[in-house]
Amino acid sequence: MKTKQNLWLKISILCIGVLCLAVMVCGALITLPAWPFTPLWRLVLAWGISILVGGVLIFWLVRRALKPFMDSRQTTAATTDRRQEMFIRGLMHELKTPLTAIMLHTDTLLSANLSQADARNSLAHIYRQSRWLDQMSQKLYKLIKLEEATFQTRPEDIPALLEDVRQSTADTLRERQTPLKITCATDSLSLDYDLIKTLLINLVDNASKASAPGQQILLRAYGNTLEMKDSGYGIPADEIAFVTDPFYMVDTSRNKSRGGSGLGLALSKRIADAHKAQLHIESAPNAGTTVRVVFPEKTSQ
Amino acid sequence: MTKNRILIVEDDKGIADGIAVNLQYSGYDYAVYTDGQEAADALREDHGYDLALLDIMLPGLDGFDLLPHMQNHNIPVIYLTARSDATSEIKGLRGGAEDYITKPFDPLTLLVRIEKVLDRCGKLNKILRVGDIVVDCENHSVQKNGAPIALKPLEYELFTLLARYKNRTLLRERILNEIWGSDYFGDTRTVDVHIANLRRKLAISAQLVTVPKYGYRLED
Repeated sequence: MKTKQNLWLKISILCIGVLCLAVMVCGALITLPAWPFTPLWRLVLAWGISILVGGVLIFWLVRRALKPFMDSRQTTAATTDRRQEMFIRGLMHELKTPLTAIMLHTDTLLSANLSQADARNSLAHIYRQSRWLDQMSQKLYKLIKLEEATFQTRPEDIPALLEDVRQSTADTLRERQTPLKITCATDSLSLDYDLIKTLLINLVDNASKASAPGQQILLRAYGNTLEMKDSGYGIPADEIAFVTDPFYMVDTSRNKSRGGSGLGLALSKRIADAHKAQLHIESAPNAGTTVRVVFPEKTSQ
Repeated sequence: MTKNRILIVEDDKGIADGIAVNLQYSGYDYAVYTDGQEAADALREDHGYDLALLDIMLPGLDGFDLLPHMQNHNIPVIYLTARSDATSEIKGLRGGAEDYITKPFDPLTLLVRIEKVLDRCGKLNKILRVGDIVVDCENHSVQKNGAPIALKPLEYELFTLLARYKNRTLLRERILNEIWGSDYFGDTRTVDVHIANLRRKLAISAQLVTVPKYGYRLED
C-alpha cells in the first residue's frame, strides 16, 4: 500500500516537472522575438514568475485530480492498520487467559503442598489449557497460510464432500445430540476440497454449539450455494456484522466452555473470500441462524 | 476462630479453580460463580463475604456492574482482569474497588493483596494457628501449648509470614523482601539465621522445612 502511494507521488511530481518545463519552453518561444529588446533581469524575472505561477497552478490541478484517489488509499491503509491492531489485541487477550490458568496451577503445584486429588486437578487444568492453545495455534496457522495461499480449485463431487463432513463431525454431533440432516441438489462445484471441508466443518460445529440437545441442524447444497441452518441460540442483529472478525465471540463464556476460540468464522470468511464466494449470515436471537456460501456463477456444472 | 470468606466471580474454570485451591490451602473459605448475574442474584440470599475477587469480562453482569451490589453489602472488591490499559485501571479503582490485579499473576501476590485489603478493612483474621502454636496478631503474642514464647520483633514478623502462608514454599528472596524490605543490603543468610532461631525457640525443626535452593515452608 505504502509503495503504491510513493509511486503515485513520484508520478505526479514528474508530471508537474514536465509541465513546468513545457510552460517554460512555450513561454520562451512566445517571448523570443522580444529577447534582444528586453534587459536580462526582466527576462529572468518574467521566466521566474511564469514558472512559479504555472507550477503552482499545475500542482494544484494535479492534487485535486489525485485527491479522491489518495484519500481512499489512505483510509484503506488506516482500516487495515486498525484491523491488524484489533487482531493482535484479540490474540493477546486470548492468550492471557490460558496462560494465567497454566501459570496459576504450575506455581501452586510447585509451592503448595497439595493433596494427590488437588494436584491431579491442577495438572488436568494445565493439560486442558495446553490443548486449547494448540487448537488455537492450528487455526491461526491456517488463517495465515490462506494469506499466501496459491490454492487450486477443481470440480469436486459435492455429495461426497458433504458426506465426508458428516463423517468428520459425527462424534461431536453425537455427544451434543444434534443430528445432522443433509440435502444435496448440486452434483459438482469448482473449489478447493480441503478448504471448503474445513469451512463446512466449522459451520456444522457452530450450528451444533448453538443448538439444544435434540435439535436438528441442516446442511444443504443447491445451485451454487452451500447452506447451514440451525434453530438454536441465534445472533443479535447488532452483532452479525462482527461475527467474522477474528476472536469475536457472541456470549464469550458459553462459547469458550465448549472450546471456542472466535477464529472459526474468521477462517471460514477468508476461505470464502479466497474462492470469491459470498458468505451470508441471517440470524435472530432464539430463532436460529442460517449461513450461506454462494459461489460465483461459472463454477457450477 | 472464623475463617475469612471470599467470593470469586470468574468465568474461566481453569483460573477460578486455580484461585480456589490456593485460597483453600491458605485457610480461606470461598464460593465461586461463573456468571455475573448469578452472583448478583445469589448475593441477596447470602452476602457473608469478607472480600470479592471479580473478573471484569463476565457473562451476565460485568465486573464494573457488580461493584454497586458488593458495596451494598460492604464487601471490598479486588478486580482481576486481562486488560492492562490505563483507562480500565482508573475506571476500576475510581469506581470504588480496593485493588486491581492484571492477569497473569502468581498466587502468592494474589494472597498478599487479599491480606492487605482485608487488613485495611479490618476484616483480617487476627489469630493464626499452626499445629499447637497460636499467633495473636492483635497483641503481637505467640503461644505454644498455651505458654507464651518471647520472640524478637524480626523473628515475630518472620514467623507470622510463615504462618500466614503455611504449607506454601516461600523463596528466601521473597522473605527478605517482605520482612527486611527491598533496600536491605544484606544477603539471604540473614533469613537462614533467623530461621534457625525460630526453630530453636519454638521447637519446630520438624515443621519448619528447608526446601533446597528455594526457601522455607512451615507445615501444619
